[in-house]
Amino acid sequence: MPSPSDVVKGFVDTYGDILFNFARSRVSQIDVAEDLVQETYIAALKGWEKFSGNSSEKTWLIGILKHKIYDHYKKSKREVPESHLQKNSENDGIMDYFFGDNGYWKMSPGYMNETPESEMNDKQLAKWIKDCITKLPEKFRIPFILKEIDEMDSDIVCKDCEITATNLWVILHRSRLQLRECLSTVWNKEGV
Amino acid sequence: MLMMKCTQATYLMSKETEGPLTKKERFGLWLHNIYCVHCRRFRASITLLKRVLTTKSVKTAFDDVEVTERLTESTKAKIKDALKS
Repeated sequence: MPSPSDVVKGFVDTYGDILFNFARSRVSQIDVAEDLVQETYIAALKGWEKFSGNSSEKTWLIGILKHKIYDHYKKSKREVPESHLQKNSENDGIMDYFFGDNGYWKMSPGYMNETPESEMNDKQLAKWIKDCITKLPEKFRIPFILKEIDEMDSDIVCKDCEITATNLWVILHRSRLQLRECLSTVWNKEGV
Repeated sequence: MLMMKCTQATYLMSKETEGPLTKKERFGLWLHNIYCVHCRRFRASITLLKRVLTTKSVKTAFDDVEVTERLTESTKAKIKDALKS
């Protein structure tokens, strides 16, 4: 009969990479992600007796990891430095794509119905959105996911990503421009 | 008074989802949106987008990650070491 320690050590081989990639999708620093994965396994070993088996082992471990990630943000006491991300300096092409030199829309953003006319089901739409978000510039992706999907507080996101509130607004704004466009192509039946 | 541009108006509409604008910002935006159907549409669609992003199906889609990076063997060993019975 394997000991709990042996079982959880086995989980390191089976789920270690999955947990690591999940952590990396929420935390940009590799060493922090590794620490969070380690803390997750330690907590899993402590809580092994309580694991009822109602959910899969993977879901259970990811649940623990999410808590560890959130705790990490709350503890994050880094002073937000003078950020390198200035308001208009990042020429990611997003603003140029949508707006002319005069500052007005190049093309009309399409009208989107309240409910989608698309024939995609919820799951397919969700996958589409996820793919669109994956296409966002590297520096935008994590703050965007933390704020809009995980619904974290702005100040926690800013502290952990080491950006100012203004940076965050700019990131969210540019990301939304891109995502709105991405979503509108599948939202209405005729496309926009 | 110069009319606000769409670049500024859209930025303010985005910022507004995070917290109240200043009186000056609100007035400038209101004035711009009287004339600009494009920006009115933008506002409606980002409200929609914000709602869609917090639905259960999207949150669930983000729970599944693709494995693009791997833990090194030494890191795995270090983690296993920390798991004493």
